[in-house]
Amino acid sequence: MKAVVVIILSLLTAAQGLGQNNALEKQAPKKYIKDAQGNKHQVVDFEESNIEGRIKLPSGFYIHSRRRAKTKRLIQLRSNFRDQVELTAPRGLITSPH
Amino acid sequence: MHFLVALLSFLSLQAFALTPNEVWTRIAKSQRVNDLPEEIYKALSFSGPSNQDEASYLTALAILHSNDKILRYVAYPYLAKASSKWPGIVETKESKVAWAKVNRAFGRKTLLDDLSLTLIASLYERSQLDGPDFQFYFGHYYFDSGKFAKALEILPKVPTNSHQYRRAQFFSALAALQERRQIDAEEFLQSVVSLNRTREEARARVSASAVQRLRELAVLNLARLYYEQKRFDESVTSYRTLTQDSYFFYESLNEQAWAFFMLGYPNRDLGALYSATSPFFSHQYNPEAYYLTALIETALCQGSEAEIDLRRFVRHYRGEGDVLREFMKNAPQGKDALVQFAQLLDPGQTAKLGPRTLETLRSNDYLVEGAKALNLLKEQKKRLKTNRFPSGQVYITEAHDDMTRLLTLNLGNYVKKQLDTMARTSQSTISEARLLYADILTEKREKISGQETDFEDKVLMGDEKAFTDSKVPSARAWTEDKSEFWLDELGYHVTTYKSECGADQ
Repeated sequence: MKAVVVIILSLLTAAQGLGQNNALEKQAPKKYIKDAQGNKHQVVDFEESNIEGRIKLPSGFYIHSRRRAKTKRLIQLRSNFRDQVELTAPRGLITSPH
Repeated sequence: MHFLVALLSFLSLQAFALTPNEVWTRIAKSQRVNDLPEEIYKALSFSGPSNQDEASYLTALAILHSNDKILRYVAYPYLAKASSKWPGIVETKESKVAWAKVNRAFGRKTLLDDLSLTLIASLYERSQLDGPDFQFYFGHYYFDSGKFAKALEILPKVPTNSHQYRRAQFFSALAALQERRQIDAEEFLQSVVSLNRTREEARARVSASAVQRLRELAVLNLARLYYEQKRFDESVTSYRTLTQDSYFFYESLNEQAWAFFMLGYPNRDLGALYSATSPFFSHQYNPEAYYLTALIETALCQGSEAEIDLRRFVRHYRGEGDVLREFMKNAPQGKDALVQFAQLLDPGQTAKLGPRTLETLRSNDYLVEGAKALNLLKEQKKRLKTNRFPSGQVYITEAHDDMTRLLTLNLGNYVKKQLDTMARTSQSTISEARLLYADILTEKREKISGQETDFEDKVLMGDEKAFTDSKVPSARAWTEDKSEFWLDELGYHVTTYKSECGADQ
């Protein structure tokens, strides 16, 4: 019986912790903006979030603090070929260029 | 004495001066420029006519010159001058006659014809002109000016029995793409592709190759549209219909590689890039091909192969890209600078640009046609000097010079756009390559325990010296000792790489 009570208490504590994490996430409000091309981008505002941390030099950052630099996430993949479409049917050629 | 002669000739001119209506009728009825009597040019030079009369004369001269195979391109400058003298001319009967005759005389034979007709249509914005050809050129004018919604109101109205129908559908598609009406764009492009050479096209002498070229361009743009919509399988299918004998085979190879990458077929992807980087296309400036090859190899955890390809990318493009970006940074601005850009098309010109950059520019279909048109105008200028009417010479030479300058500016504008795009791609590809290189080195570092000090941050962040030239042999490279290459092999390569991800764990 004691063991059952301990398990229930542990689960309740874990659930509370999870709730707190969610609350922390909510502190960084997300909003959506559109750029000049009309593409939708998600913007997360961290201004009001309480983020603690220490500054480290790039070498230390990469060699000691982090197992792997996640550069793959930064690599841009082609999302369209609009620049090429423009060149196959050029505009502004007939009307006098300004 | 001299004064007396001058007075007599002035009085004789006055006495025999033709009425404006007579001048208009006689010019419009003339068949050839050389049939035009000297007195007509005298009437034109005479300072008496009102702006309205002069606009009529100039319109008549435009009609007359449109019949002349050599001088027909001066029709536009004449008409432009007419509407600047008196804007009301565009709403008169004379203008309607001018459009009908000029359109019939020009047809769609060359780029210069097309350019002239679109320019003339743009002059008649305020007129009540109608008809399929006018709608096409007017819509084309709106497309060219970036007024896509207006273009979409006019171009789809070009009827199916017009020889311009296919082109109207094509430009409608491009305008729809700009207006983010992708469903409409797809329908327009499909109609360009599905239509065989029509009776009207044959009657208007639109060549079979011109029809085929436009159909293939529509296929290429459909593939691009599917790619943007993330319909990668349909995109690949469209790209693969453009085979070796297609006008757009090279573009198809490069772009289908991205679609294969997104679909998750790395070996077909690398096969397409293998063809795109073959010696057949060694004159093309395309840094993305080598970079994408390295990206796929990294995705397959083939770090050392990726590193080799990054070095090949650097060897091929780093220097040329730097030169191009520097050239664009220091390029003069303004309208006059466009003349200098157009001069890059001249093979005799030596520019401070890399060989691939210049070759890509000079082999561009549009620019090849444009350069031909410009040379034609230059050739014609020599013949103009033999014109036997000294007073008419001034008009014709001026109109011819106007047309030449306009074409030069337009071509220069396109050259600039092309170089801008190339410089931008070069810049972004180099940045992406540096990130990729950092990733490869990071993975390498993780595999080598206890040697972390070899990879300082400056190397990790893509130190310039790390990108030095290196001729490391690669099993997939078109090696220099291979003496024969087969064109029919292109487009069918499939590599047999296996993912090495997790192999050492």
